[in-house]
Amino acid sequence: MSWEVLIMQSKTSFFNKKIFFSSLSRFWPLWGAYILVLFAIIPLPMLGGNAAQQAQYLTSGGIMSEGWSGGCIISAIMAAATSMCVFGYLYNTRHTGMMTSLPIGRGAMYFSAFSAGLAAMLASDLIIFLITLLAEAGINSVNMVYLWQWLAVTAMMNLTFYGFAAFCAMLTGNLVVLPLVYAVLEFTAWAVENLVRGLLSIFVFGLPNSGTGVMTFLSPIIMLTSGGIDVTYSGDVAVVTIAPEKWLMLGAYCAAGAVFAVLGLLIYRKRRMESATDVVAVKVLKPVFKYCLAVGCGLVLGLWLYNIIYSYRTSSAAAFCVLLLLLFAGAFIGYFAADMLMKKTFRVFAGNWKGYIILCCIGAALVLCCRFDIFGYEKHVPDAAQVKSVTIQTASDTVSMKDPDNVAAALALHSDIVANKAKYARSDETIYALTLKYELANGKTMVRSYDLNSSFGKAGDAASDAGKLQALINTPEAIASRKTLTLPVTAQNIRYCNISYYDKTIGGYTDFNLTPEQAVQFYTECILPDINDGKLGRIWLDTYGGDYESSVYALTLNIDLYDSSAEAAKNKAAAGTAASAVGMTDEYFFTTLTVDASRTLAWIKANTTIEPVLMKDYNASQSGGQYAAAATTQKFNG
Amino acid sequence: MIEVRDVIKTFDGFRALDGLTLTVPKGAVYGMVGPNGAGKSTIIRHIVGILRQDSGTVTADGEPVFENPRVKGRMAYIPDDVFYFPQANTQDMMKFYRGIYPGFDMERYKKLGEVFGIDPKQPLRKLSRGMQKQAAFWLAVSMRPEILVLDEPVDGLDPVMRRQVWSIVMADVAENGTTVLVSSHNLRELEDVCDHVGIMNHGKMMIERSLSELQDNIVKIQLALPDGGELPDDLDIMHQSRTGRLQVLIIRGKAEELTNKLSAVSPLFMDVVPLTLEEIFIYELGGADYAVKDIVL
Repeated sequence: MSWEVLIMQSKTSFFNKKIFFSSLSRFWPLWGAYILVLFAIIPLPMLGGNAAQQAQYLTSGGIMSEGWSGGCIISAIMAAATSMCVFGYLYNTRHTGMMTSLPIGRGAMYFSAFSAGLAAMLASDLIIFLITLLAEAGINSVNMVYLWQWLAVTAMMNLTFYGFAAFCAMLTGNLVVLPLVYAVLEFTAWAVENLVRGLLSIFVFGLPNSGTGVMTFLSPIIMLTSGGIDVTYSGDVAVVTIAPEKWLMLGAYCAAGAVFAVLGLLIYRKRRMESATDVVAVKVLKPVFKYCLAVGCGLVLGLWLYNIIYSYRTSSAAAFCVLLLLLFAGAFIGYFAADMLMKKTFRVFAGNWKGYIILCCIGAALVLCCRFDIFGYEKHVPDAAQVKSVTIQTASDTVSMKDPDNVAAALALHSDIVANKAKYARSDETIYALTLKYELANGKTMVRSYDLNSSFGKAGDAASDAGKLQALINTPEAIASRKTLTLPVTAQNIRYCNISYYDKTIGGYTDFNLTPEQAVQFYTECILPDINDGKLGRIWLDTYGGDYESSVYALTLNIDLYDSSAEAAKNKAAAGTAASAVGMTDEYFFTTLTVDASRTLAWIKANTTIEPVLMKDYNASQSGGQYAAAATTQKFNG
Repeated sequence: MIEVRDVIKTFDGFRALDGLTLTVPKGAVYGMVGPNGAGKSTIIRHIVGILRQDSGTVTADGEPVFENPRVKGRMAYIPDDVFYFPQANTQDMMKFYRGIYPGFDMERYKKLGEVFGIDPKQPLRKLSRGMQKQAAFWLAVSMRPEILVLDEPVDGLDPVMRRQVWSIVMADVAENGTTVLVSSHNLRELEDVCDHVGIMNHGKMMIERSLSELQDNIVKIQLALPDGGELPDDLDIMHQSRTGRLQVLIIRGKAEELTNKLSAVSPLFMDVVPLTLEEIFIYELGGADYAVKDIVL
């Protein structure tokens, strides 16, 4: 054979079938394990139970609900394992030498190994698809819609996670480090955001400790497992649907996975093969790794130790100094640990302090800027003209208001809180928890969250800020926001309605049940008019005062509603006359009876044997311990 | 022909190759020798395209080796520490290489199977290091390479198998004009098979010549001078030792020229002794501060 022939044949561009098939055949146990796991979560649950249960599993999208959440985690794990196998030659010097001395270009080597892993996963998905199809045919209940959806979702998740895992595989030269890097990077955005928020909320007045997670979209495993599918209920039957925006999200992640796979190829082309066994394989990423680990350890260890020492929010200078020192200590561990890992020696301290000191200085400067509100975050209160609506959340109740007067009152209260920061936030004692969420005219939202101490005032004192807050959350608009029902209150929609009250003859709470017809009349003729008049549905910030005890009865009104028309449609769908799932809605109404709710009170006296007992009489009838428990139970009931 | 020009390679600040230049003529058997840490394995890993140099060029027949499947397809490489897939046997590896090297010669593979006597279905991980080396030779020679790169090739082989392996390599060189680059510390063995030698130290090539040229250029002379007799000043003496009147000199230069010069001082006795490659290696490196040091423990 002439060498010219050989030259032509060895020019394989981006694919080498020997590497592809070799990777497929050598790692068959992994693909087999993947098939087994998928088999256990997809067709196997369907095969158990009787015919009715099997039919219910299929019609309620059991395949999708199992396939989405379980499939997401399995895909993520499988992606890491596959990368470890097909790119395993990069983590052993001898293996690296053997593979890279072969007459195969790096592009072909990477693509062949990558596509072998992907093909194995997709083939496994397809096998499970066919097995499930056969199983469904076996029980005469083929549901191709969910089956196709499952296949598409799983394949997209495979590419999403595997593309990223392949990218991570190129960043390191150590087999053990690969899954760690992959796992850490999967959660980095979410974790860093929460850690930074947790750190800043310690000393930035008004910063919410938890939030919607602006960066969470960068952690697909969290996004996909926490909010991929919509599950609604018809009675006890779950109906799974994937909204178009969820498909879009998955498509975007899938595209990102493909982009990461290409980035992996670009890194692989430049990879220094002597980096086998190195923690960081890409030279330019070594300082990035070092400083990221330092910052990460600073945040994790610093906050962890701080929360052990101070288990509450405090704005004291001493606590702040301790926090800074703990952050520096955590960063110290991360900074030098990174060097130890990269240099494979414990002797990393000599002449290596400059970077650490600079990092501490920058970190301290940023934290101090936040502490002293250099960026004006704490002081910022939006203009009334910018605010479309405000949502006020107290300990257990949330109301939304658009009325300009109410918005203005909320802004005035907000300004008062900001102006009195030193007073309201000065100790570790939290009396009131308040969150203000503004919806702004430009479409953005602004959220502030406060833990306020006793200086905020007493709810019964109308002149204090606490009193102003109580007035604000009991305006007619606030009560309507709290108590307005979306489902029509009809006899068909009522699941049950009762009056739960303290019966002094038996010395305890008991229920009085109403028929649906009675409930409709009671709600429409008495409860609703009283709510509209602002006499029913009020809440109290402070349930230990005389105002609360003399204003409410030890009596609550409860109505459980459901959408009967949707239920009927669902039953029709389940009977096989319609393929699509129908959305269901349940709603629950409750309120505590107040003394000035005259219509409601009159109806109860006229139609029942109940003798309402004032809360102060109820409390007086209870012993000390029971009193406290009862008062807590009734707190914020309205 | 393999050509390495001014190659520099640094590992985390350590310069493993420091402007190395090396030329392996086509069809030559080139022995690369040097002390531990000289950079022999490093340059070999550049020559077979595993590593990328920081600067300089590595070419085979005028074409760069790195990321060049055309050139790499004409090479076979046996590293010091051979690697096989963990579950593989010789037959599996044969199938793997056959799928990648189109020039893989099955006839040759079968013939060589009789020479090596390894069960092709026995897992390679269960073989001894020497047997694994034999399998590597079996597979590499079956590829019919134009260029054979060997790093400590016979390390771990028994004397009979060493001879067997070298005879196969030499037959390949004679029949097909295979170019062989071999790195080894076994200078006695290299002396028998190599026609070119390069001596490396500290990432640089100290000397690179054909073996005959190298041996012709350094001379070992034993001589005894009369009382008061002195050696000529213009001798390039690499090593000198004395036992009574008898002096042993390692001198750089041609034997004929040196004997003529020394005859001028009327020695009582003079004899020219041929140098082995090992002696050349030791005396050349002695001049580069790599001599055997006398220590007292």
